[in-house]
Amino acid sequence: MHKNLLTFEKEFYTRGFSKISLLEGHKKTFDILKKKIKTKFRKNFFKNNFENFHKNISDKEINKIRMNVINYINTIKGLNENIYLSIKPFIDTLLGPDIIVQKSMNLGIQMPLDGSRALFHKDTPLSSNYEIVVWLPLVDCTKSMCMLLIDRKNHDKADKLLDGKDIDRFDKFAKKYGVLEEVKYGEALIFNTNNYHYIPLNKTDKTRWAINTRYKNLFTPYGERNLLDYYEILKLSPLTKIFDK
Amino acid sequence: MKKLENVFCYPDTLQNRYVPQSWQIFIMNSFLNNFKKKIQFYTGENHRGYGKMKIFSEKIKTKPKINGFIFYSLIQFCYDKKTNIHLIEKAVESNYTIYLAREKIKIDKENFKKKKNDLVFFKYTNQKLIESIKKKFEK
Repeated sequence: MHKNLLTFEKEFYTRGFSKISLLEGHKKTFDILKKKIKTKFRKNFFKNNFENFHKNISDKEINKIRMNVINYINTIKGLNENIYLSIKPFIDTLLGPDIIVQKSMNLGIQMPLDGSRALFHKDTPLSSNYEIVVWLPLVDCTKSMCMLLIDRKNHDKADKLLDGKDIDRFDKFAKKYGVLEEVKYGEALIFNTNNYHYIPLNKTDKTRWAINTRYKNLFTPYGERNLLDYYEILKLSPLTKIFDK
Repeated sequence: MKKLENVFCYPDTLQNRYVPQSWQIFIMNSFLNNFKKKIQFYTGENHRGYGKMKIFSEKIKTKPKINGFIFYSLIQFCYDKKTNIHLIEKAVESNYTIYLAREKIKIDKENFKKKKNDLVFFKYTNQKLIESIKKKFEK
């Protein structure tokens, strides 16, 4: 069942993140995407599915494959629009009618025990505070395949970590305060760019595939990522269209 | 008909102090490699005409036999009161391609309409940066 918009808004406001289900009928966007990826990269998949992708791929090969898949998905016409449509009410309620979207979406492919992952971080100030990240797994993500998010109420504590010296302090903090949201295929996680998050080492026996892309209101303050170098216009309100000259 | 591979290049005079011209050209060349195009010639706008982009504007009129024009950034089109989008439009209507290296985009007759809103709002969303570059240059 879809999360009520009011519940979503409240949760997002309180915690800085919220999990949602894709709108009915929109999972097919991702079914088609997966089919396309599998066809294009059939040599890499061998006979494996997405979860078992690692079975015939070495650590040395994965980065090149990841880059090739990212380049490929960014050539698929209409994918950005279709992803937006699959979660439209949630994006609209956070951002309003004038929306810009990341020009090139990212895709994480994290094989079991693959150590190449982002450390504990938040996307600001490179991104402004006025942006959201949409994280869409292409496989069911359970346990350490999931991201740990830090609730807004614990951000002050997280900020202080930067002054610490213990090399493990970020891992320890994430384990203590991180909220693990299990996100299934067909669901998405939306979080604010100012939210700390942590990607644990994937200790499962499955490969994690997840798209991440960013959205923002055109008229909100910018960080170092701006229109055209990072974002492009997704939609404009009729009023903005009248006065855009 | 043989495809034209040469491109005229316009480094940003106002940004030379932040990204030296040799690096701007390196970046532009590297972006053009994706399209198998080459810089044939480069020139910069002068201290008086950079707002209206007079040198570029005159160059389009001469109808050179090239594939298009590469700029370091769309910022170069934003130093006047109004963004010089009409020059981009004029160029693409004359079948030239415009390459913008910093923004990593290519604009031609086919995609101009689709990209126009992004081009229009660019000055608004980059206002602080543009003003600061102009202010430091004019000092």
